[in-house]
Amino acid sequence: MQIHVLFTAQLKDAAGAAGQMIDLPDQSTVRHLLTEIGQMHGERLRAMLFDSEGELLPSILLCLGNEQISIDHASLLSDGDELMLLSAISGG
Amino acid sequence: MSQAPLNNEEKEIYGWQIPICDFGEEGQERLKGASVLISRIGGLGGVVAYELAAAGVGHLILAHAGNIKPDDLNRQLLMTYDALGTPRTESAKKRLLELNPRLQIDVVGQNAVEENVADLVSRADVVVDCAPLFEERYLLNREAVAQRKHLIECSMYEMEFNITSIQPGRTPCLRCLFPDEPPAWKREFPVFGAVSGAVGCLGAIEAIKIIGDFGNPLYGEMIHGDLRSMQFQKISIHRDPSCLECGHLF
Repeated sequence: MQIHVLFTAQLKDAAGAAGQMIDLPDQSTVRHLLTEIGQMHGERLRAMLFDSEGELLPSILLCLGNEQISIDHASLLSDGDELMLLSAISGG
Repeated sequence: MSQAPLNNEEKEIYGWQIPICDFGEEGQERLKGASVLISRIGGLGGVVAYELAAAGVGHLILAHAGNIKPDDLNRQLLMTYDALGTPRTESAKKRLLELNPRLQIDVVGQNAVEENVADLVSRADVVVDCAPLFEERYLLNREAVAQRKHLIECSMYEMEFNITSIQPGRTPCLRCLFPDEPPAWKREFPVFGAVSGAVGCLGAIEAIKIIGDFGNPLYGEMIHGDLRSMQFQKISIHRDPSCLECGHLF
């Protein structure tokens, strides 16, 4: 199945793209997807997403469709799902 | 929040907004009787302040340290070229009173820090967080939660923005959403003034809705906008029951 991943703000800079389609096996979870994203991209994006133990950083908010979710979101992903990765940003 | 009666001149000046459905003279009286803290009055907070001054919010508290620099001028609309090198708060107050001399404007030549944040938040009915440093943002969030004050979180980066409104005990707070700041965050980031201005206007209208008690503030919702693609998304956001700041309220 294909999942559409959207990168925002600094994540977009590090990913080099606003988004990408990622192929995953059926029955994949959000955690599987994020692992795949980490493996596909370089250290710059990985450092913005994960800590030294590979856990999602607390500065990242996940949005599946129009709903905030956790990395351990109970439901399996479906073909065509869209996951947005929102990094905390500030003012000025 | 309190209301303050309008005189005939005020009814004329706000005559284009008073007829707005569900707002009316009562809403305008609420604005006149309200106080709003705008933490930093740069590209984002400056536009918030300008729009709230135009709308007739009776009391504005502006907190921002430092003097005007040349690279402020692409976005900080309360600053002027002639005022380069002078305190930002002085320029801001002058510009706002030129627009609306009826307002009470308190300026604080400091950013929100541990020593002053409780006092700053205590003076306001609503807080608009326009700060660039996450340390400041988390302090404002902490005090807004502790004092049960409405808090509007505005942020931007390059051509994107996020905005949400927080009511402690009802919605997620900033720590619920982002328990920690991003690694390697840079204080200076690319942005057009029109982008910070756009989210500043949205922040102002959120404050107006909250004070005027009409419309639908972004409680439990965040809008993410990308002004490069002109795509906007409204996201349902959730409290974190284990949140260090507001978990005890639920």
